[in-house]
Amino acid sequence: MRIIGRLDIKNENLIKSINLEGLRVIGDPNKFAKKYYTDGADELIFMDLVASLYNRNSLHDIIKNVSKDVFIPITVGGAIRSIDDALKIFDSGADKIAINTAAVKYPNLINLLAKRFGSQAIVISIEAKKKINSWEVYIESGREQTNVSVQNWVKEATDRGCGEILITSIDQEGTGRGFDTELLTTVTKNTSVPVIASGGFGDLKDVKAGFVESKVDAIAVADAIHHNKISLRQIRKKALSLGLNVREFNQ
Amino acid sequence: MKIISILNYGCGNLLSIKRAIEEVGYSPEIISEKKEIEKAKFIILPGVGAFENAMSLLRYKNFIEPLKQFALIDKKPLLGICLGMQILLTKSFEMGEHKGLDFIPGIVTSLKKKSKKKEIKVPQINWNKIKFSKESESTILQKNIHNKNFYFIHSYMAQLDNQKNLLGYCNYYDLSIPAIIYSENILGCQFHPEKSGKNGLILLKNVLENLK
Repeated sequence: MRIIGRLDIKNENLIKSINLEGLRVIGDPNKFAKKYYTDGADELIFMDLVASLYNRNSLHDIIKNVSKDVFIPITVGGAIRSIDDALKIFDSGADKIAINTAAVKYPNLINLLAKRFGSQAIVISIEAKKKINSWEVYIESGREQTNVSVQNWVKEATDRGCGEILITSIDQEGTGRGFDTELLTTVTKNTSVPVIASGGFGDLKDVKAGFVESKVDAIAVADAIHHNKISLRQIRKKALSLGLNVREFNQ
Repeated sequence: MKIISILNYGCGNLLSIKRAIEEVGYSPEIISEKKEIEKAKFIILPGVGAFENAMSLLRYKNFIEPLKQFALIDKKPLLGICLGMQILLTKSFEMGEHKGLDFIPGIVTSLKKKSKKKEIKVPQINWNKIKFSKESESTILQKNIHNKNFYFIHSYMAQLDNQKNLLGYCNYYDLSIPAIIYSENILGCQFHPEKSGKNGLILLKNVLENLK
């Protein structure tokens, strides 16, 4: 089980977002990334929230810089639409890529990417909004609806060979009100690949809600650590006290 | 200072490995030519992706014979990481059946097929603890390593013909997965030492120092 630091990026800045809408600048992502490495993050996720909108990705330089001093896995997402885009991101130092919009529009891209880079390097990022009795997949950083149900998309992405699923609740994202455990459970029940929970973490009780109640394999934390409300060390301590199988980290 | 050559055959996270080698005080170089394999003192074989792709790239670049000369005849130190470890074995059953380098006898098999647990998560993406078998306790490579967490990310695993080639393993569901395999001057890690934080760097340093 992993505890992941998630950094949402707009232009060259780490930003605070609510419901995936970028609100304001927090600071230099390099500085935060290095701090989270030192504090024992098991992995870092970088998401360019506006890349999809402008069809570009400004993360290359950030990733190149971060991967010089950070010796843990790095996942990068935002406007990856082709094998070529993926290659550039991997060459910058990413270990995994996260795709949302392009995968929903051209699902066969998942098969192609998995074949070229291996399933383990392909994370399907799902941004979900709650409907009455289900969840709908959104694309373009939560701006556009698709009429695709999360449950069906999870199954299809798994069958097509993705290696991991990052599920973000748009409703909970940036609010610190806790995970949407029903959404997370819907995902973990419908796939055999590891699942990363994102959106809503705001309290140490969410450690249990994610790992135990929803059976996710990793939780991604953003605002809570960016604003020093909770530290990665506290989260790890909490997970260990629950007897969960997380990395022991005492440095 | 000992120069560590990272073999670029179009398959692997060269930059991360390069940075990790610098970090532990060695000089890395990236090599892409047959001639450079002959001159190298210590080679790292990276690898990310599919087995068949990695082997056909090595074949296409005519790297297989020079690697055999380097590791089996000249007996110079070779470290394989992740898929770079798996291709050290005899053959793989990843999407068909494919020949490996056959430097260490054994096969590569799927976690899903090997496990009897239906709920097994594949790939294993996990900071798992490495355990060492009793016989290998005296080896220099394991200093500060036993029971420490390392970063694994893989869907296939080694299955060794001889247990004497097993240095360390990890437990995952009902599986005991070879984590470090070796044979004299050849060593392979299933996990990524360059992505395993401080412990990974310690292990990498031990290997670069002591693998001869």
